[in-house]
Amino acid sequence: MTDCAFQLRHVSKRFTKAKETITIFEGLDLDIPAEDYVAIMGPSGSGKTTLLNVLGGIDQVTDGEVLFNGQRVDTLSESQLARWRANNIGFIFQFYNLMPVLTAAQNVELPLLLTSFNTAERRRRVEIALSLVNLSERSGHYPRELSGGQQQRVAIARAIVSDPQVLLCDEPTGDLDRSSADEVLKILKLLNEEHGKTIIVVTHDPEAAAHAKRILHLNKGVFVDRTVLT
Amino acid sequence: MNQALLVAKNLGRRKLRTGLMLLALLIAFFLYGCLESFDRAFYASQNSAADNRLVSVNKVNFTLPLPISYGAQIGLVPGVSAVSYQSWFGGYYQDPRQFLIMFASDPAGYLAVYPNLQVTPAERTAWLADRTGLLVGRTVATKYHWHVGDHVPISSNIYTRAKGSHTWDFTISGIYSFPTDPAREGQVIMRHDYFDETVTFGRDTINMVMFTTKSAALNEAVIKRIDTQFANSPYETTTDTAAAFNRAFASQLGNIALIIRLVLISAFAAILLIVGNTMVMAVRERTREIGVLKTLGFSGTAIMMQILAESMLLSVTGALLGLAVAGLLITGLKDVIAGFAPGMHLAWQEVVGALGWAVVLGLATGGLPAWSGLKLRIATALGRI
Repeated sequence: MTDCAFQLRHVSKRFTKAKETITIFEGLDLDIPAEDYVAIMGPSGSGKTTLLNVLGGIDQVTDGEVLFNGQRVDTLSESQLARWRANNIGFIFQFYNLMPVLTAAQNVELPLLLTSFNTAERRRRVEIALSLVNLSERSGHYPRELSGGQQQRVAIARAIVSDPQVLLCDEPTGDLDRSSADEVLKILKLLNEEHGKTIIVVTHDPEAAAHAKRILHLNKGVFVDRTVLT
Repeated sequence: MNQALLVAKNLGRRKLRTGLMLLALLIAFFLYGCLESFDRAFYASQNSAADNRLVSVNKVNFTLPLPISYGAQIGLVPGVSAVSYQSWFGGYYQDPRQFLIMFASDPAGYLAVYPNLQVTPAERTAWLADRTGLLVGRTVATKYHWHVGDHVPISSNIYTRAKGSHTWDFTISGIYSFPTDPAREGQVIMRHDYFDETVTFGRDTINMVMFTTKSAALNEAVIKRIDTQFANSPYETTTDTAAAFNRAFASQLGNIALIIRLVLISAFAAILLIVGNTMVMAVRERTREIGVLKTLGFSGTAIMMQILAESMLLSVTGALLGLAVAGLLITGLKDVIAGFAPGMHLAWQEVVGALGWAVVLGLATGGLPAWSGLKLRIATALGRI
């Protein structure tokens, strides 16, 4: 089953807070094929962000296995995970999380500092990424000089600049007005359909979820419903 | 863009805060540059005496007199190769604030005891021939724009002349340099015979006998012989090497080295706390950004190195600025400083030492936030649990 980008096998996540053990999910199984576009929905506290963290190697599972392209990633060390994320995963956050001291182009270039590309190649990739999100003319602007929608598009450019296989999006439209949100969703759809990116979106927004190929409903750590849209 | 630009951008994000940290570091390293330069110049002059040069002074206190005849008597002690003597004149030029380190000495003996004193043969001859002649150190001559042949009036705040005047007229016979002991270039030497016949009190006395032995190996025996010779006389002596005497003299001003160390330790401790605390706050403000960088694939080590690079860059920049200001000040006040620490300048030893301390300070102030950056969990940084 190596055509699956992600496979979760009997994954459990628990943590202890004030001597109380809290179970986020227990024995979760999930397959996300390559080039899939999955929306994960659910009420607050259902575990969807933790699931995204687990998929992105940001959080460790308590039990079970996490496989990426057939290889276990839950056993990797911190530094191995950092390299794995740099090579395979792009992150898009609700609040953009751009560096305020860097211009749009410099923010996009950040992940490329971890590669061996020379300056000219980095610049070329940054220009391509910014043009994909229609922000070429704003490359020299600082985040404070951009609208929320534009900042989120810079964040998308940053996520795709190193050409990762997977984009993990945590409420990517949660802080945007409808028209900006639509623009962001259109770009995500384009990245999935035309560039073959596997996209996993955690969202509360039904309209955002409607752009996905599948919707997974998570409640109390269990998938209660799986909707196939296309 | 590169990692260095990222470091510079992070430092520049709050310019006032970075500026104040730089100012604090600048002050610390300015103090370091000035005090260490002073320390080196001050103690260099104490330790530069030749191994075989000794001095005899009054055993009770070196300010009390010895008979002038002691010079000749010490010259007869076996093992002694050259003898001179001197009296403190307490001289000043025009204004008591323009004090001079001035001694009255016998010219032939003085030139023999200090063979490294460099003066032209013509000037040497002129001094030996002119009773009112003065040998002036290069630093003093430069400060007062004196030249060979100038007639200069010099007053004493101790001695009086027969007619009640405090001022003596001199002709500058020579201007000397003293490469092996630049401190001596801040002195003025008059002839003791001129001194002795014009003062109204203190005639036929001296403050100190300076002499050399044929070999440093003879020092102990010569010292013992001299002090034994004058024991139980009205003017008992204590004899020691010139270097030991200089150190003892300097220590009367207090333990300068200790004072300097305490001042520097206090300054650096304060700076360590101020800059360290500010760095911790600066990095804490960026917790979320550090989480994002780690999410993008920056390793904990990369984050740690970045924070350390910031603190090092800050520290080294502060050090260089502080040293630059210290260097300018020392150069600007060269003439003023020459009176008590001749030859004081910002040397490479101070620059290397300061840069070494800057690295230590950078590591110390950046260490804690860098460690926090290394250990920070992404989920915690992003507040996502």
